[in-house]
Amino acid sequence: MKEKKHAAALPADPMALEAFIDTGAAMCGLSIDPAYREGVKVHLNAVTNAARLVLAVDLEDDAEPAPVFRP
Amino acid sequence: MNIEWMTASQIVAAVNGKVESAASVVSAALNRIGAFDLKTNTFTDVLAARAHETAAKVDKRVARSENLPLAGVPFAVKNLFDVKGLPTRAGSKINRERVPAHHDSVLIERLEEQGAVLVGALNMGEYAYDFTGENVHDGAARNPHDTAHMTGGSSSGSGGAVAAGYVPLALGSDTNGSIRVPSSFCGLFGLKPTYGRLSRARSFPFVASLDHLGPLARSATDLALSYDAMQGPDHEDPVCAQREVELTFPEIVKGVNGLRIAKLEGYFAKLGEPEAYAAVNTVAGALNAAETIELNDAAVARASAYLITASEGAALHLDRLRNRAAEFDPDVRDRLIAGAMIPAVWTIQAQKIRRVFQAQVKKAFERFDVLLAPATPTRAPKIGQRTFKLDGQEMLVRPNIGIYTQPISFIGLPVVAVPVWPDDGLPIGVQVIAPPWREDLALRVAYQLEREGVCFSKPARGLTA
Repeated sequence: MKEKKHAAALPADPMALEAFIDTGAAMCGLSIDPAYREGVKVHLNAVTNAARLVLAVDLEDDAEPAPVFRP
Repeated sequence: MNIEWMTASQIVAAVNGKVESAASVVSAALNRIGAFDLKTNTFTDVLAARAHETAAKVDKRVARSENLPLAGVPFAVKNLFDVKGLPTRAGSKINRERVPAHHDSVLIERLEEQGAVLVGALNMGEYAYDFTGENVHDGAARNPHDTAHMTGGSSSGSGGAVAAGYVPLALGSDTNGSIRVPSSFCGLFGLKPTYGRLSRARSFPFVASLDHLGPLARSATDLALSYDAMQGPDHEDPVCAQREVELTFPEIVKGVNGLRIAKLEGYFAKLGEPEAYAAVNTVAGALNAAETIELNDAAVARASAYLITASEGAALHLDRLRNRAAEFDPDVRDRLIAGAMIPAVWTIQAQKIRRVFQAQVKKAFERFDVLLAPATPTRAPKIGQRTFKLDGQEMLVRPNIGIYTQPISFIGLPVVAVPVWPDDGLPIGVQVIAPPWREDLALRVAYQLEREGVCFSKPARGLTA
């Protein structure tokens, strides 16, 4: 797969992740127990790392997502 | 021969030939579960009354000279399959409050129609988001070959129950590797069919885009027998393909002559323990598969599967995370909460990559009929182990056991996991990967490897009276 010349630079700054947890949870209607926060951070960091690889791929405009709904 | 180590096909021959009754086979299975499962913790529900009743019906059909393809075969299912009368718990505490299922799942119905006998439901990682077989509510399933070690997950009880000799056949689910990982850790043959090949109707979902169901067994023949019994269109599962049954059982004896087989290198030859590669080399050597091929974007494929899984899994469980977070297995809960926050643009890009990767792998299948890769990077870790060293890097066990399985299920390819025994210790599996809808090719290869004594399942040593 082709890599983008200018892939979105996702922030690696831990404070950005903290802020994302606060707003992201609020937008899902989730309140996160402080005891869960560290675990959530570890996993959010892992998905963000996965996203870096995924978002770096340069797709054509006509690339179709895999699931197809057949009415 | 002891009934407990008979394969499904041997039981079928004995029951149809009236050497054994289904009733006696099922009683032997129930007795063995009762005697040893305290050590292995693979069953969550043993359905003795139901099993005796079903076995009696099978014996009546055999007495009427019906020749049943699965006559008297005891089997069990991961507890995310609906079983009439049980709440479908899917490894969770919360789901135990569900209304008991009114009907069995479609695959149970299809197996029983052909003479198999359901004996119980099996332990699993909570909501199938797991590769270890650990479960905070029901306790970890234990590897019958060494009970200090993991069975692998999330079809943990399915792997453990077959390896322990309780049943010759179990059903599991595989979203990112959950049939292939326990097959690898428990020394079994496991089939993850093509995405959409087997109906998922009346099973508890995890990730609709990636969920598959399939069998685990101690022989390739038993995979073919049970898979053939479960195939066919089903209007209850919108993903289930409108394809007629394509029997694999008559195909498996055809051997591997003429098949072009290659080892996957690059991504699939990194991050594993030496025995993972040695197992692939053993299998490749036996098949005279000298060529190698690389799938350049396997890492991106895996990352995409990771995002889709976390995101769809979170969407499924969002209300439970909002209202009952404390009742989840903590390891599962924190991953799901993180998944809830994934921006839609990430997963849509991942779904597009799925199609691009599919096209790339299709090209590889123009050159080769079958591809080989490790099933897991290591043999079964110890229960409770949190990290392992892969290629010198300290990594978390839980999310990384599936590094080799995830890119393959991402594009729905059929795979048979075959067991290799590097020494006297625990086994490790190899993935035999075929093009879409060509389960027959992977099963032919698995059968050949079994016939040559390269791949086989062993009785578990610790479980004797």
